[in-house]
Amino acid sequence: MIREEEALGKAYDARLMRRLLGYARPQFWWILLALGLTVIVTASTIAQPYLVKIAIDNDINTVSLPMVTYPIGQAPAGVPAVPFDGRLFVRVKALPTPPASTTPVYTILAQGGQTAMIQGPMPHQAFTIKNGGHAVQIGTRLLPAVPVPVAVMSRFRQQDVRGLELIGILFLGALLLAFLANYLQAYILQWVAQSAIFSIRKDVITKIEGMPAAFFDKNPTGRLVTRATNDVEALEEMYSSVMVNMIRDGLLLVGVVVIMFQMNTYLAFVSIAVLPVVFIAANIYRNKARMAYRNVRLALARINAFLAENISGMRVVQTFQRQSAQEEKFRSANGAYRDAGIREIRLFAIFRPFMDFLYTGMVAVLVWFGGGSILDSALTFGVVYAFIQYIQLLFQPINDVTQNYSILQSAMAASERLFVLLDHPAELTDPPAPRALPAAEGRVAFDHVSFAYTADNWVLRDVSFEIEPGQTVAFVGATGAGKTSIMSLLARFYDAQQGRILVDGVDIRDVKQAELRRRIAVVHQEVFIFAGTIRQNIALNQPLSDQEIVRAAQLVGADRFITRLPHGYDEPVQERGSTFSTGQRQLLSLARAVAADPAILVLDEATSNIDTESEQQIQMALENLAGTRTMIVVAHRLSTIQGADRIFVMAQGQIRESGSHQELLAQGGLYYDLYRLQYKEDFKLT
Amino acid sequence: MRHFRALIPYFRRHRWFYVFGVGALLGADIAQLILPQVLERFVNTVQRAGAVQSDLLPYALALLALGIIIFATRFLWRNFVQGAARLIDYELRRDLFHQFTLLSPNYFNHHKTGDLMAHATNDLQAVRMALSMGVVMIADTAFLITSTLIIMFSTISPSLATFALLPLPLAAVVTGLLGRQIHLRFRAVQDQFSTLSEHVQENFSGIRVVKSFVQEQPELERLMGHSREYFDRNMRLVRIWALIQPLVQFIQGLAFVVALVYGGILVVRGTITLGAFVAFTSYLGLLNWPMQSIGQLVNLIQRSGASLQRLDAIFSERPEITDRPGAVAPAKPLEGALQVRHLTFTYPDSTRPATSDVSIDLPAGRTLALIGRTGAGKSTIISLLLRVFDPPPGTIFLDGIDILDLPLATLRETVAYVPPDNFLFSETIAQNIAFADSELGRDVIEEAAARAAVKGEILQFPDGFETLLGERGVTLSGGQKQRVSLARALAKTAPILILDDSFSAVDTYTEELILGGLLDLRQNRTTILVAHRVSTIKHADLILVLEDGRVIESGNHQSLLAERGFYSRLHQRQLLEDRLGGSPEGRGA
Ligand SMILES: Nc1ncnc2c1ncn2[C@@H]1O[C@H](COP(=O)(O)OP(=O)(O)O)[C@@H](O)[C@H]1O
Ligand SMILES: Nc1ncnc2c1ncn2[C@@H]1O[C@H](COP(=O)(O)OP(=O)(O)O)[C@@H](O)[C@H]1O
Ligand SMILES: [Mg+2]
Ligand SMILES: [Mg+2]
Repeated sequence: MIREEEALGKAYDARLMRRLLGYARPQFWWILLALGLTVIVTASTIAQPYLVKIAIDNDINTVSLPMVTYPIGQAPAGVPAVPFDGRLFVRVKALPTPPASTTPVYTILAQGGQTAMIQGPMPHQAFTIKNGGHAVQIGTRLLPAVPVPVAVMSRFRQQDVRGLELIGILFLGALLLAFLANYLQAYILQWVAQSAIFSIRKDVITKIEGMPAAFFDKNPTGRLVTRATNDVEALEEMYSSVMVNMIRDGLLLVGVVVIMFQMNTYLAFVSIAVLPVVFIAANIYRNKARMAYRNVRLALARINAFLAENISGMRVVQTFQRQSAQEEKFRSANGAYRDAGIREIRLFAIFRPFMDFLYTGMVAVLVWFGGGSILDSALTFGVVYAFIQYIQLLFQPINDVTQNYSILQSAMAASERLFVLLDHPAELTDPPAPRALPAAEGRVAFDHVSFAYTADNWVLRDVSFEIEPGQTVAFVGATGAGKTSIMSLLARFYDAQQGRILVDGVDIRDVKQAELRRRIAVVHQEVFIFAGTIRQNIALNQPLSDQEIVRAAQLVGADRFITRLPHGYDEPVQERGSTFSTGQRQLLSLARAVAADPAILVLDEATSNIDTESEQQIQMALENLAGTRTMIVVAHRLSTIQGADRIFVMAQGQIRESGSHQELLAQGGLYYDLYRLQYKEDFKLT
Repeated sequence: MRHFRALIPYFRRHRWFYVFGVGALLGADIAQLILPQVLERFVNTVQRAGAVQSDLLPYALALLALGIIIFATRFLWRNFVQGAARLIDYELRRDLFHQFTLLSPNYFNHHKTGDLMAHATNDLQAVRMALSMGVVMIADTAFLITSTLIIMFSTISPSLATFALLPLPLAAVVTGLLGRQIHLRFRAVQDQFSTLSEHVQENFSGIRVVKSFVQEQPELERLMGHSREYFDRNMRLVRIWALIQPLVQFIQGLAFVVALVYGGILVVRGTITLGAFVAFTSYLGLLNWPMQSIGQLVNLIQRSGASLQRLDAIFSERPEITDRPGAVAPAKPLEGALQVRHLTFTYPDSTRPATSDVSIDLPAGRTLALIGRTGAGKSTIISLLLRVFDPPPGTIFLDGIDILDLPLATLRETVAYVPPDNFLFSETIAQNIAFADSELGRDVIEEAAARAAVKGEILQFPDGFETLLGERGVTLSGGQKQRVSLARALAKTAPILILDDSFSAVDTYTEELILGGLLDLRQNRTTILVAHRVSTIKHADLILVLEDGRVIESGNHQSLLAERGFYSRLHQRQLLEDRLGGSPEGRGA
């Protein structure tokens, strides 16, 4: 049985993953392209804070950088030089080779809108600009200074503005690149994902359709539909986001750590010290989330099962006046779902804010240690700023992990169920080298057939019989005697454990199921009507003319009610034919069988909900049909069957008596008793 | 939008959760807004010549404190708001199921089970999202955007704020424009998914027919056609949907570039401090989430609005069949005398009457039988009597009272009914038999099973009466189901017993056994039998032969035989057709 909704799946299973990726293999080159685009996006993401760092350190925060002087016209070529005070000023940083340590340096100090130039480096202590910029007081010392007017200041900063513009253009380029790469990547991945789930869905539906009847006995339809629809759908995000996101997050993590160490080893160590805490927290969360997620799903599955049943059975609930009792039962299922949901919320409410706390805490740590290093002149401010940005990037993959994790988890759970289904042995297969059935005659033989649905529960015991072409035979017997089982074996819905079944002299296991079933049409006890029109229900994809359809309907007497419908043969049919009476549905499925024109027609209590008079009419029609074809009829009403060439009387899985109506009556056995029961009145009369 | 009004009572019931939740949310927002201020002061401090590390301690500690506040407030709003959404979700689902129990069977004939289930799960989930993330996003975006803008303009630099924010409205415009298209394409995807699911469902339910008629290949092709269309519609959606996120990020990046270049120049010019620049970029960062979530928010509201509309349609569905105003249970229990007067009934969506001018007079305790061709209207009469559909006023009476004047509960308590489809629940056999009254004793259950001739078979299951049915348990054969359904009706002590075609899956021998067992029960119960076999009904006090909704013959077995009409012909045919061939007379008892 395939019932794993309750199983606690692993979040990651290499074996499942390999198979899932197998479905994406035809798109291998596209995935590679998407990966390439991911690298571009990640590089752009990592480059952005670094560009800001450069802007801050090289352009924005540069007013007090030390400068050296050159006489007018003698500054090195290609280096920004600003004329002031009869000399050319050039930043030390801008020089290709550092000047001799004895070369005097000059520094511009800015304070409260005043700017003044002093000789010597930036002072470490607090300073005050005095006398309109002609002096600077540092501690108790008073240094001479030259005031720098605003117009000259902007000449000094010209190079910085240009630098900022350049950074802006680079930044814009990075953004544009990321935008294009992002869009293309999302589109390609969606295409990959849709292609993969299209082929999985195809495999799943093909597999289910190919399963034998026993499989459908054990697995309720609703569950199988979920496999082909929602379970397959649960894989979509796995292909379209998780697959590449995990790689992107890995790249991002590595990239950020590398760039951190490149900028400053000390702060990098301080920053990554938080990672173990993060990983431990994420791990604890993962384990708990798994349980919580499972409970939510389980509770939801119960709600669905309850609703499905109670909506279909609402009429029974109402006629038995049990509404409040069912509401009470629903309340407990619904409450379990609510509680499971609340537990999940609580878990998430701790984890996500805790990550946010760690991030803010890290900023505090950087402020303390990074700020300290700036004061020691061991670091520039741009580096600390970049670190704060990178810490944020460092947390992004970790926050993504929780989301990826739940996607992965549902994908794994779904794929586990899907693969269990796909790996389900096909139990009942076509032979590797099928034989062709000889020309249709309609000969049927059971040769010492024994059969059990479940181990050792023998439903048929050593059944043997032969039906000649063109004969009409009837099976009678109590409910549960095994009549339907014989018909199911004949159409090879199940394989018998012992014995052989021959159709036109060939063992049915040696031919293709499709070929066998084209020869046999079974009208089942339980009717099935497709949504569509009456016409479609009779023709079932066969290219039949209107005439042929009407003839089949007339033959079984369905024409009478069909022509009275507002749209006649084109009358739309609801799901399951719910607006037709049971008998009318049976008439439709009879017409369908007749329209299929088989060599062997099997009617398994196909007329049980049809009134006797209509049944007689059908009977007569079918007798006309017979002669050229073999007919096997299962019925309770003896009037239906007494015209048969041969009657098999079944009891407890065995054929107890057989013969024509008269022969059986003459035997005075089971059939005679059955007959007498049904016609007791008649015996009294005569 | 107007559909959201339906939520008000639920909202009101949990208003304190929302008040506290939104309060906590705003607390977290305020903490976030303070954070850049701390950074600004920190930056300006490190820039100051002569500062020492201990000057930084207040900032580090302030950040730590903000971190703790953010943690606590976020923990609280998640619990309050999302918890409240869960509670409302629960109540809505509870009320929805209650509404289902009020709706008439006709409603369920015209609405697919799968769709109704989707309302109770998917639509409610969309509403729940609106009630949690929707509320959060609205409060968050509104508060964060306004306060960030105020801070940017008033405390940092109006010109910088103006230039940097210039690109952002573009993001709103783009998401707004694309949002409409996305909504339409998303709907198209969802519709196709339901179509696909329906066809898969149908294919699997009818698998025996599919296989019998070798329709696997054409069916598979049909399904794959739907699957291919689903693929195409998804790609059509993605073409614009995949644009949103990168585009919004790009526009936000644009704003950041402006802030970097122009803000940098302002620092260079000495108009703002480096600290103010850092604070400004942090505030810009705070706007990212609200800007992105505006698009999501619109989408969320649209989706949940559509879901609410569907739910609203169910909630506002007036149950077709209800107690009439002033319907009261009669003082003494009903005895079960049935009168039908000139009953003519046409199904709501049909043009031809299903019953025409049917009249019945059945004293309490007697047995009525209905016989006739398929579609003659037998089940229709039963449905009207049970008020599955309401009969016209003044046509059906119990003990002289128009059944329309009886409370539904009284009417249905008066009747024990075996429906033709033998619907059983996925519970134990005992629970199914005791469906009418879960307090029923084991002896009553077993007796009912014995009368329905199914006790022996039940006891052969390993778990006997405790055998679980349905998905998680055993599947019964059609005949077994029918007899358990019969036992369920027999276990209910009601003055009227109705068996609608309840022997169709039972062989003659078992039927005879059951009918024999029912004889003494029938003594003091009004019984209505619908059957096809004369042998089933020949003991009835009154037999009606129906044809095309009309009573064409009525009487008892003897008188009907004497009439030599349809009934007698039927009887003859059922009995004597073989005489032409066989001669059972000789073997008479
Ligand atoms: N799909 C099934 N799985 C398991 N047991 C089954 C299944 N179908 C029928 N049975 C059992 O097999 C026996 C024979 O059933 P069946 O062939 O349907 O009898 P009949 O058609 O004569 O009424 C019964 O005891 C029934 O409960
Ligand atoms: N829910 C319904 N809606 C519309 N027509 C219906 C519905 N149920 C039955 N009918 C129609 O009413 C007529 C009588 O049906 P019914 O009473 O079920 O017949 P019987 O029980 O005698 O076989 C049929 O023509 C059938 O198609
Ligand atoms: Mg059967
Ligand atoms: Mg009926």
